[in-house]
Amino acid sequence: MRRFRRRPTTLIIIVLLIIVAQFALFKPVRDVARNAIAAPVIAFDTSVRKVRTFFSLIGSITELSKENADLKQQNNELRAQLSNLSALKNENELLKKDLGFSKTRSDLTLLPATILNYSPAGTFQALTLNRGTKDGVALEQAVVSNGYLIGKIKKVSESTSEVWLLSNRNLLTPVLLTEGKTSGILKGGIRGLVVDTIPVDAAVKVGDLVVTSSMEGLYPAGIAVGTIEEVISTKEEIFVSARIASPINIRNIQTVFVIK
Amino acid sequence: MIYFFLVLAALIVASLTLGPVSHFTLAGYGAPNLVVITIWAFVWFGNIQIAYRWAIILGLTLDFVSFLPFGFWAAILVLLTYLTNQLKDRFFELSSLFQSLLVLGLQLVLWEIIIALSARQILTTAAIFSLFYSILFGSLVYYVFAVRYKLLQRWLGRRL
Repeated sequence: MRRFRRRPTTLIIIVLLIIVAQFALFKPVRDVARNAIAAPVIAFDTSVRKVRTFFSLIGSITELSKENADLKQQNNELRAQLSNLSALKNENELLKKDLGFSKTRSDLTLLPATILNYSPAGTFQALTLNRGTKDGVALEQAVVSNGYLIGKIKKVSESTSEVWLLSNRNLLTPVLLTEGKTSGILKGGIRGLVVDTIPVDAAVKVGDLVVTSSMEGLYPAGIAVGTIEEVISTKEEIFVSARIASPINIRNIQTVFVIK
Repeated sequence: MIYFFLVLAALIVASLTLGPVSHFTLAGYGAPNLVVITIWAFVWFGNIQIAYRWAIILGLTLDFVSFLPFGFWAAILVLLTYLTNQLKDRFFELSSLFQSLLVLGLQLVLWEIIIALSARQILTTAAIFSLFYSILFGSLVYYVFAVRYKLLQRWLGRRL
C-alpha cells in the first residue's frame, strides 16, 4: 500500500478499471477473457483427470499382482485395453443418451455447449458455458446432461453464460412426484437435493422418478431430475421431505445441452 | 519483470482454480485453496508490497472470467492480504510453523465465511476437506520456503 501512496497512478488506474467494468460495454471484454482462459483451464482439468485415472489403474494393478503374479503382465495389458474401451464405451453411451434424449424430446430445441470453467469458489455451485446470447441462450433456460436436468442459466453475456446447478441452495425447481400426482419444490443445500412440503398422504416411494413441472412456466415439463433416494418424515409433521439422487455426476460432465 | 512473473503465475493459479480445484470442490471432494495459500505465502515469506500486487493481479484475473461484479475477487484478496499482514505483524511469530498454519487456517475460515455470505450457501464437507488439504499443502510450502531456502536461519536462528 505504501507503494501505491508513492505511485497513486496505479491505484487510480485500478479504481477506474473497476468503475468502467461495471458498465455493459465491458461485458465483451470479460467474454473474451473467459474464452481465452478456457484452453489452459480445460488442459489442466483433463490432465488432473488423467493422473487420477492413472493412479486408480495403478491401484488395481497392485491388487491383481497379489492374486496372481504370473498373470500380472497379461492382466495389465488387458486392463489397459479394457480401460480404453470402457472409456470409449462410456463416452458412446453418454452420447447415445444425449442423442436419445434429443430424439424423444423433439419438441425441445437443444443447444450443445461446452463447460469453459467452474466458479472460482465451489460454494457458488456454478459453471460457465461457451454459449451466450448470440447463440440464443437466455436467462432461466434449463440445462440438461444425458437427459437429466442439471441446472439453469442464471447469467448470460454475448458468448458465455453461467449455469447454477440444482445443488445451488438459491435455485428452486418445481417438480412432480408419484407419476405426476404430487408436486413439490426441489432445493439444493447441505442435505443434498431435497423436495420439502410433500403432503404426508402422498404415496412417495424410494426409487420413484422425479421430473420437472411446467408450473410457473419456468421449465419444460417432464425432464428427468433423478429418483427418490430417501423419504424423511417425523411423527409430528403433516409434510414429509424426500431426498433426490441424480445419476449425473458433475465430475464427469464436459458437455451439456441448453434447452432453448 | 516482476509484473511479468506475477501475471504469468496469476494465469496459472487462476487456470488451476477455475479448472481442477473448483471441479473437485463441486464434486464434493474438496481441494487445496490455491488462491488463499498463495496470498498467505506471499505475505508470510515475501514482501508485503509484492503481496498486494499479487492480490490485485490475481483478483483482477479472476474478476475478468467471473460473472460476479468486477472487483469482487480483487477486493476480497486485498482484504485477506491486509488482515494476514496485520496478524503476522501484531500477533504471530514468523518462524513458528504452528502459528503460520494457524494464520492460514484463519484466512481459509474467513474466505469461506465471505464466500458463503456472497453465495448465500455453504458446502460444509467440501469446505472441511479444502481446509484440511490447504493446511497440508501449506505445510509443504512452509517446508520448502523455511527449510530448503534456509529462511529459518535468517529468522533469529530459530529452528522448527
